[in-house]
Amino acid sequence: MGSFTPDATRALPGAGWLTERRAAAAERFAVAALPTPAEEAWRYSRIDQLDLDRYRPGVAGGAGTFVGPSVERAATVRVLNGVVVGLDLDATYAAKGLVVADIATLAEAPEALGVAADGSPDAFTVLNDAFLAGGTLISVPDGMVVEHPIVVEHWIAGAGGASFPRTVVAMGEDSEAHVLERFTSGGDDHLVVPVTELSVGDAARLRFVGMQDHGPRIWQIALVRATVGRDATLRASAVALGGDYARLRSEALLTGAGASSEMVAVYFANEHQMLDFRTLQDHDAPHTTSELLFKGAVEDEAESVYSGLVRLRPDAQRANATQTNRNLVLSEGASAKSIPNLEIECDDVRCSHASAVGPIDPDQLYYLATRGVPPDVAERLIVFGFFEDAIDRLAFGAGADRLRAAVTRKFDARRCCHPDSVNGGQEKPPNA
Amino acid sequence: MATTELDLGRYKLGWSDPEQYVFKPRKGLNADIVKEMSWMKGEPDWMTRFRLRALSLFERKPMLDWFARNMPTIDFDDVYYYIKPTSGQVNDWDMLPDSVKATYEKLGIPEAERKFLAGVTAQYESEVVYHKNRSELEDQGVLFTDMDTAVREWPDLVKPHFGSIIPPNDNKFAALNSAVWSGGSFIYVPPNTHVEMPLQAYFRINAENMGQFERTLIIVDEGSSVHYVEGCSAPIYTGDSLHSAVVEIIAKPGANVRYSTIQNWSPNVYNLVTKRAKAEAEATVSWVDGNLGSKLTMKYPAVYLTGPKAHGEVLSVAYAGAGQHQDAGAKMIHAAPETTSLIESKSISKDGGRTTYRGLVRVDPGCHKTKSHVRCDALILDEDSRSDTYPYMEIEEQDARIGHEATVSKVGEDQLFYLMARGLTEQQATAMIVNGFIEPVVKTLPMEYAIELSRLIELSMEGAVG
Repeated sequence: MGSFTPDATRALPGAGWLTERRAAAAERFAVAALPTPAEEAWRYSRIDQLDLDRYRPGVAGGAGTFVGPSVERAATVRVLNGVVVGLDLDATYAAKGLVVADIATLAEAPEALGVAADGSPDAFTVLNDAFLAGGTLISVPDGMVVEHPIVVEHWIAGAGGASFPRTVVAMGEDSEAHVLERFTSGGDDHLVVPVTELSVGDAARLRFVGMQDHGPRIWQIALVRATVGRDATLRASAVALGGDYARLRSEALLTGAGASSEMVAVYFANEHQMLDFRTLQDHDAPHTTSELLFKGAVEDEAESVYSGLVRLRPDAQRANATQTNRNLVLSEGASAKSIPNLEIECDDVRCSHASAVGPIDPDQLYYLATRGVPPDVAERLIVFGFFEDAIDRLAFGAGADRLRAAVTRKFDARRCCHPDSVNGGQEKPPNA
Repeated sequence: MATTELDLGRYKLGWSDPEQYVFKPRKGLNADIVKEMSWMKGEPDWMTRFRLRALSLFERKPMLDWFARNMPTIDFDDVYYYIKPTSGQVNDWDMLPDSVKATYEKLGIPEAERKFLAGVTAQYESEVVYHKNRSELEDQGVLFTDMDTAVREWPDLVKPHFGSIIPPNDNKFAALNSAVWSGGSFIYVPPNTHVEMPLQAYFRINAENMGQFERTLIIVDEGSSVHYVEGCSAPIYTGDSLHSAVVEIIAKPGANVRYSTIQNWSPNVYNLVTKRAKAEAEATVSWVDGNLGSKLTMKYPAVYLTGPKAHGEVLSVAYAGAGQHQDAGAKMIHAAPETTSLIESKSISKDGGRTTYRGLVRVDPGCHKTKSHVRCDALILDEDSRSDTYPYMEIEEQDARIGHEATVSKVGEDQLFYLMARGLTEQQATAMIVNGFIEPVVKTLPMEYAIELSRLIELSMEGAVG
């Protein structure tokens, strides 16, 4: 347990309800065991390399480096190591009743806090409950359409620190919003355990993009969990590029008839990174639809894990679910694990899944070579083509361009190029 | 309709004959029973030691949580581990006791024999009581016998390979089987020999609370080929029976081995089987697996592709009716370059039955240019039934090309409508669609088995409403 004791949580500032809530969670954490790779949910993970004693909560993160706004926004929240440090809410939206607030400043617990996460707790969500500094509450009133994006920018910094960001999105009936949550960090060795809860009310539409471009020494264990009500639509996307070990558990529980979810992810791991995804499409109502598309590339000695479950419970008659995971393995030594699972407990459904792991198709390279495209350029084109349908579905406009640029950076960082390319597959010089 | 109505809950081959046994020891398991059993069989010393070592491994290995959860009712001390049915082995059909003969006649074995199947080894309880090989097999130098005989007569072939693919410490049930095994088949095919006709064995369990632990070893030498067929059918009983077989296949370079099973144990049998094959360079091993019976089957035929260009296949059909859980799958371990594998699984669940596909495709580092394709399709025929798919893929090599596809659906309404518009009843149409669904696997079976499998599925399907 190291620094993560009930005493440590009592020392944290905050309103009465918050300190009580934290203390109760800290008591639960004190008796909880950390997971091991022997548990199915942690199989293939690097959880046995986690040494909690190396980290302590509440490490100062300096001033933080935040990306300036590139488009007009309804609200921007700046969060440093899980603490809200800046909040701009467009006055027009505020007047109409849109709430974007720091949870730590609220007089009482927001209703949506814990609703989604408590449905499927693990040791790390309990740890987040015990040490959250506050976090962002986004509450969209019934019937409101928020046309401009709401952006939550996280910066993680401070060697040996542990941060517990929390974001809660509550969508009222028939409301609509677009929320972007972005994590960036410097080169510090830091543990970050974010929990993001999305409650999508009846007939509401939420588009959520969670993106992480962490520094190379970050350990991330994240949860994004959504409940989707009757006739509501959730589009929850993820982009994962950084971190030493970065895990994301992404879950959508379809609780109302006619609810639908779409989960799309793009990930790219290189060097010794491990990107670890666990997904759940949980259908608990009739006529529900879910779609999942996870596309990733691994390079150098990097590893990726995709383990997903589609569960159609007995009530999910007439449900339709698809699950697709595709992995490109770009170099010798990299590896991708793919475990797409189905549990079907009703008959009048359509459900399919597909997964693939493989290298760049040599036929495609050959085709491009016959058109005079050098192999390293051809590889880049093919990798971009591979990601493009997912990028197209998860982002748009400037966001999509920024995402393409991030993938380009990742691709250009490759240590070794194609064996047939100009410099014959030698290591690139340090300044290349 | 009324004339064709069948009671689905009734087990079709569920008669049982009065028990007449030469030797029937106490229930339970200990070193004395194992020693006594080995002595009764007249086994060499090394086998007795092998059994005792396996027994101590079985006792030491902890019972796994998932197993205990799945099978709360199993009691290892309430099982007969060895029963010797008649005083010796016979090789003429007419010398069999009438009750045993009657059992087989109901299963159609003499017809199968008449149809020139290459050899028949019928297992009644633990010992192979009837055995006959066609003389041409002997001329080719092919050995096809029961495992007990092989241990006594061919120790030079058996000893180095027995337990080499599935060692007793592999899992708790392999240890149990290694300690108390009895019967099963032994096949040796010498180099460059093609066995044209399928070799066939039929297994039955008859005594209540009787464990059957057959042990099969198939060695196919360089450049040879063989197709071994095994069908299982057990009569119905109220107590729980345990079936835990071990099957080892060694395919030497260039060999081609196909192992086909239809399992139709009665719905009180726990069927926990370890099946594993080693395919050396350019060898092909395929498992064709039909799982229709038993209360719970857990069976994941594996192929270890240890030589370059080896190929492995698992084709399986599973049917789970009321109270049944078919937890079947496949394992492909690509441990050499340019190896390929194919897994095709078709499952059907009905009346609250549950089918599970659980599989693993692993590509070890350095195994270049491997390919694998996995396809699992499931049909769910009513709202009480359930289907799960757990396909694991562990790919440690960059240029491996691995694909997986699965679909779960009910019988298509359009297809039903089309057939019913042509005058078929809903039941006939459903049975036809289901037979079409399993066709890709069924067509790989020898004809008698393909017909038997289709017929069994059709029988189980009667009364189904899509």
